[in-house]
Amino acid sequence: MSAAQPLVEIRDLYAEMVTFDGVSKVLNGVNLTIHKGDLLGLVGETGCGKSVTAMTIPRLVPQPPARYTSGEVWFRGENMLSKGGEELRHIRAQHLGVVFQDPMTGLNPVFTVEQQMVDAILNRENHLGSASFPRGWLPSNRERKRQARERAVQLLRRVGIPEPEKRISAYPHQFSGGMRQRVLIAMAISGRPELLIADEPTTALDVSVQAQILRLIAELVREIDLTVLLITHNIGVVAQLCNRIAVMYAGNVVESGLTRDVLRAPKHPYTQGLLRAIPSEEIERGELVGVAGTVPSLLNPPPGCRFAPRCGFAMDKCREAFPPTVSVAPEHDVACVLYPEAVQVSP
Amino acid sequence: MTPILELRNLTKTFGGRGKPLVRAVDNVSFSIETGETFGLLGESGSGKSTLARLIPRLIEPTSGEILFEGKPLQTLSGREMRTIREQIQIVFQNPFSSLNPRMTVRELIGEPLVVHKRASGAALDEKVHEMMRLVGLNPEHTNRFPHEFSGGQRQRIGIARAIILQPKLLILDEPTSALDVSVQAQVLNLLIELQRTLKLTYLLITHDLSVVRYMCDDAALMYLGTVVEQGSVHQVFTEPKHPYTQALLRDIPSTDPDQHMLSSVSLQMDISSAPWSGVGCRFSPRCPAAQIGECKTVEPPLIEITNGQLAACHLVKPAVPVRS
Repeated sequence: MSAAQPLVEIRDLYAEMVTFDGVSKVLNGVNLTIHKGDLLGLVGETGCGKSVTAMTIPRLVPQPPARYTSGEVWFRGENMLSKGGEELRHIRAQHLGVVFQDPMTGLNPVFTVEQQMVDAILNRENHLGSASFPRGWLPSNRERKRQARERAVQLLRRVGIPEPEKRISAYPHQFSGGMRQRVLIAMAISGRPELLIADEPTTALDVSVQAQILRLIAELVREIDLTVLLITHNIGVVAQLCNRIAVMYAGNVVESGLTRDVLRAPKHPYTQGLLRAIPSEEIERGELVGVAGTVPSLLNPPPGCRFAPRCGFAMDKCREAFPPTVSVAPEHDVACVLYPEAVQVSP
Repeated sequence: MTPILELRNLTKTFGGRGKPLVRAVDNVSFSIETGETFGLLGESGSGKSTLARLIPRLIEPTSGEILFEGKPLQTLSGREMRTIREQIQIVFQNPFSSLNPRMTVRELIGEPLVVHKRASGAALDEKVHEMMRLVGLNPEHTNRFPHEFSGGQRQRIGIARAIILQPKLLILDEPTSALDVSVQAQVLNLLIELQRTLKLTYLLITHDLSVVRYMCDDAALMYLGTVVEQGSVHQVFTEPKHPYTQALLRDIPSTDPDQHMLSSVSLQMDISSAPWSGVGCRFSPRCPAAQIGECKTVEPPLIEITNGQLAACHLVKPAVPVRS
């Protein structure tokens, strides 16, 4: 445990989704820590629970269908699971920014970018009250709108929209995918949040545009003291952008640590398999090794370690109980029985 | 030997008559040899999917020629074209929307046989089972619906549908872009295996450079409807000539944390917002190297640079053969 209190700490979080087919056990005891200034990449395949985990911090997972059965989610020393209503909105407005995956659906097609950005900025001010203005002086609505627009233009300029004074009055369909993603990032940072949650921000984009967006995020982190939780299924993106990585599989964080340590010497069989499945320069045709089998149904997950049915190293005890998380090196944690329990991390 | 597919100056425009004219595919020529895997690369909006649909004439080209085993396809009648289509099949990108949700796997996989009146009854069922085994699906699941399968399995259904008529050429339009990497590896390996056993020729269309590097013999890179670089995969990936190819290769995020991709400079803007005026090199508004006047005034032709490797760039000059 480092001296400073972490910005986010998720402890042993269990969550379920009620569906027509039954109760899906989506999160199976997730542990995740984010320190201030971190750029954490949360990776995993479709349906592994990475978005549910991340969106629990701003409590954006709708309940129902979701329900949290146990665990704690601490953000800036407050338990987010006990928050609601005005208090929750206040925390979101002041400290959190979210960028969603799809730049096509993240903006409302019938309003101009200006209307949407000004709305977001004014809405945030309303939640924070008049604290942002000098005492005893309340500007008119018109004046507030003008200031919000000015701020929106500044933000658009910062995220690299050319001619922002003109472009701000355009509709979302008049922007390309990359430009829309920039607009969404501008909106997310408009309240100067401490934590930015970006859910697959570059998945829908081409490689060259992806590189531009990643570079922009890296610049913003340096400039405005941002902590970032980046959700992605692209390990390359994490390798290039993030200092820390957490790998999720079927509702558990199975491996986490400094990006370099984990990618250089992956310990969990799933992380190893995932890295082997990526086509790279050295791999000859036909020699790519995927991870055999498919992701288990979370309606009826396998007992013990959920990766056991696909794991080449699986033993009897894997099917009995979920393996405890152990430290294999400083700041490198793995949940797998292959590593001795002697150095088990105290929960 | 005649190539299995040859495209000559193929062009497809949309719009016109008052609406802006879009040259989706602009003067594209290349040929694919029997048995090879040809990779067609490009960002979204580069025209690669339009090209995929032009080949079996799902949409009609504006001009140019498509030769399948030496036969020009545009001259064929509807009936003749239908028999040719048995030999040219497409696997579509999205395994979630390209399968009719109200049809069972048996109906989906057997549909091409029914449409082309090639089998019915027990023979049809037998053939469907054979295809399911071939692509790694459990034949007991023939009465299930698409929603009961995972993305990877659905793509296997799409592949089974495409190969049941025993085609010669398979057009794969982004076959794995909707899949997770662990599943992608399984599907790519299945395609390699099928190619060996069924002697298929592939035209693989994708925006993923690493998939092309893994799968293909030859590759062409498209930009705004035209081919800007072409050659063997080895040439294109180890000695890219066009500034666009070079930039794209730099922008693939490597899983090696010691390669600092983000500290290098990449392309500005994106394909749909870069204002190309219609004259000069269409890549010049984004090109980090476009310096000379020619880039803005003359469209560079696609010419051979070194044996078999072609590029369309004023800054790349053909190697002068050394006299011995």
